[in-house]
Amino acid sequence: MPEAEAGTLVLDCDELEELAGALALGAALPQEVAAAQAHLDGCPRSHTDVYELATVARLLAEAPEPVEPPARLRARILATAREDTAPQDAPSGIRYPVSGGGGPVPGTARAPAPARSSLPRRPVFFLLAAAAALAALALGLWNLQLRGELDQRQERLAAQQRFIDAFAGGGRSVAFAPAPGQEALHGAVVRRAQGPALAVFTALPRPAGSDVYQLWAIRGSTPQDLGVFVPDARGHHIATLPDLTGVDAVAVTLERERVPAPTTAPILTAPL
Amino acid sequence: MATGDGPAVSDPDAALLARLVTRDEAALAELYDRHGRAAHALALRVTGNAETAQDVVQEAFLALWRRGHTYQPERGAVRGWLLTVVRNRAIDALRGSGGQVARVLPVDTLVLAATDNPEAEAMQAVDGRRVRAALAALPPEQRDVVELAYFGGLAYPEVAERMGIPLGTVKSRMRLALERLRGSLRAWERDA
Ligand SMILES: [Zn+2]
Repeated sequence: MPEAEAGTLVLDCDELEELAGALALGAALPQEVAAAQAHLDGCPRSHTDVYELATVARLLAEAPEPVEPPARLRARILATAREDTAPQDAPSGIRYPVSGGGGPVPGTARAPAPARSSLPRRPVFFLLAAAAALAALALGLWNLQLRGELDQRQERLAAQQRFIDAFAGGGRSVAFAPAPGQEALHGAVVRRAQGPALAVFTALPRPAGSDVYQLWAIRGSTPQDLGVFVPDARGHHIATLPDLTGVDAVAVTLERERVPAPTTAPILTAPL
Repeated sequence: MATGDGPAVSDPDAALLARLVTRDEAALAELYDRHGRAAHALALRVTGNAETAQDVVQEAFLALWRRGHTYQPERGAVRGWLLTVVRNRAIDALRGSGGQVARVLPVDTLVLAATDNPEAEAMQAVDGRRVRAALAALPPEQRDVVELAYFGGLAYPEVAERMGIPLGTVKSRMRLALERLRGSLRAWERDA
């Protein structure tokens, strides 16, 4: 296989196709995976087979004969999750309860999901034929992530909205209107069918130093302190809100520390 | 600006995953009830050790627990993500940390996915029995390379060494095997 610069493997179209089975099975070497990724990112050909075979290979995960795990495993996993107080990836919303009290949100533990067997069984053929749509899923999300030709901004906005919509669950969401100059900020107040309302933020930069965001419920011209938070590394934060009856708007200010009344103008306001 | 009723999340997994953001243990329990058996079967198949398999399943569900908030609905099915984590971690456990094999997906860089897209849902609904039957119907030399690679975690040069066949032969057998699996699954679909 040709080498471009020192240590950089390059695959041509035929070499990629020849490697498609190994790639799909996770049996290619790391430098070959990287070279395949680079090739797919730059190649005008669709290489449909590469994606389809990867999709087929992922189905192998379903092949083992079912073996019931011991009941204690379920209990152990749930207990470990409960005690998993400081996961590195956890959204900070968990650690900065806004309306007092952390832990699971009351009311969210209902709505049992339908059993898996009740899912519609869709044709496998349909799945296999949908190679283009499945491309990123099948071979690796890195491919999608690296495709520069995707409109990343639009993609991001759509993803942010879906993130919020996923919480609504048939309820309503009201977007936060950003103050002038803060148009990149994104969030919504989500009033769910069940459980307390949430303030969901998907694109908040980390505040400088020890600054914090502070949430307010505005009634008339009177702000009520709903607590402070710092978003996680991805700019996400989810806060549970108290009863919003009589509240005209929910607002966010940027503050040095938690303050009894806002010291700055709101950067985000959701009129209810 | 009211956006009105949001689109319904048709994949129950997506709704469960969204609930993980608020550290909703009941949601984790439901995800386990939906996918724990498959995860356990896969981990056991790869590791061949009951204790190790349970550790792998636990790790995978804790990864889900910790990363639930990073999900992006367009990025694929929860079950696929979970089983990929299980497969990769099981192989790590099997091989120790010195393995050279590429993973099926670079899980550490994955954006945890939920979905309401029908393709991924279809993938979730694929019957394990069909996959087993399709695998069993492969010519033995093709089945062997698939099993050594996917369940054994061997890179194709290792498969070549193990079986005493040239690298090119392994690569072409892998490709042929997957093409044949694809054909079997499609044929079943047509007959159904
Ligand atoms: Zn090409």
